[in-house]
Amino acid sequence: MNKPKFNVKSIIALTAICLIVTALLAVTNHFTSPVIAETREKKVEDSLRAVIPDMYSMREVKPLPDGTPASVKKVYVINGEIYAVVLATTSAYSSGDMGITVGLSGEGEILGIKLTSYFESKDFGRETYPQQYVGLDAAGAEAVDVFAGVTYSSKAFKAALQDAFTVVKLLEGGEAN
Amino acid sequence: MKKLKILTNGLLKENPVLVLVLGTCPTLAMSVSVINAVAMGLAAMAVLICSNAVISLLRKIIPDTVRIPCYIVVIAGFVTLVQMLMEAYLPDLYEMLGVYLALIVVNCIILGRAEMFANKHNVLESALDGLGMGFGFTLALVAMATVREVLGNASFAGMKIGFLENYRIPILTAPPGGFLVFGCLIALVAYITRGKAPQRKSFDCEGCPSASFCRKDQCPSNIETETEAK
Repeated sequence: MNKPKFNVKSIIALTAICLIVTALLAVTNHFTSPVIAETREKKVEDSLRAVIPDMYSMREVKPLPDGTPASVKKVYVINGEIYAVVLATTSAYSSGDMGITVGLSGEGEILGIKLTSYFESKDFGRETYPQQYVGLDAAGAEAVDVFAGVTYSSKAFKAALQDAFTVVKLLEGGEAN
Repeated sequence: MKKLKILTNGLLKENPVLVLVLGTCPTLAMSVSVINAVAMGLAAMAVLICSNAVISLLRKIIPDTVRIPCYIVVIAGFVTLVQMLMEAYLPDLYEMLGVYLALIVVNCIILGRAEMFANKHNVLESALDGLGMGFGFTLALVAMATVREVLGNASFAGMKIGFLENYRIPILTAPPGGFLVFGCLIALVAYITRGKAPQRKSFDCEGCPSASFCRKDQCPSNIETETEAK
């Protein structure tokens, strides 16, 4: 029976290759990460304009209240009365975060919604699916059916929206569920 | 002459998709539109050229026992690099390719060429092989995408073709249509390359990546062959 012959040379070679590749990626990341951050920032700004088309002023809420769900990345107050919540759901099934920007009134009604990044099935309908939530409150959004064929994505989407309702409730002086 | 042959082998005679039938998953997924196909082909080609060259450069340093993990680390490194560059400088294309960009790591063409070619040839030949195979992959993707987009969606690279609008065959943009076009193109290439394409070798231990670890005495196919021989 042939047994694998592992020796010090094998370990050194594999470790060295891993270190070199890591160093190469670190250098690339050093140069690309500011550009990527800028692109993402611009994308968020564009999504705010898509969600609240008549936006004339925006202020970021800092710091976010205690109990803010982890998926809530940023909250803006638009035109002094509307909340825009930027969400990113990290799901084990996905190769990347699902990014959502949702505009909510102080009463907790969805005014506009946009899926900013999504790496899974094209069947999800990234432009059409989110629109069915416009005009709904927390209870209404919870009642929307998940989408067969992209069940995980639609469940993650619904859960993220509930997080947006939670943070707006906290900002309006309520308590998280 | 030998170098030209290496470069042109991947185009038709040993086309990785239509003759060797490797990298089928991204081919079927990304051939719905010509733009996606070109982007996927170029990304895979870049990884193929770089990984082939580096693996060839390191072929005498990498011990046989850890060569597959080493190849995977090198390939994954280049894929991540391409991903970072694409997200930074071509964000729209990055989003369009989605999960399939990361999946280049497990593209059989890349690991296959590393194992079959790059670890036996010099850097220049390996890079040329990467270029030829990458070009062959892109060509196959674009050919498939052209048929699927033009006939299935009445458009080419996103531009509408008015006179075909009423004669669309929507199934071609769906997965079954992808298989249909794939099969037709394989048949066409088989017809063109009659007798010139490489014949499938027998599935013996030679060339198997696990040969050095293999418990040959307990291998069912080996036992079967030995019994038949007796």
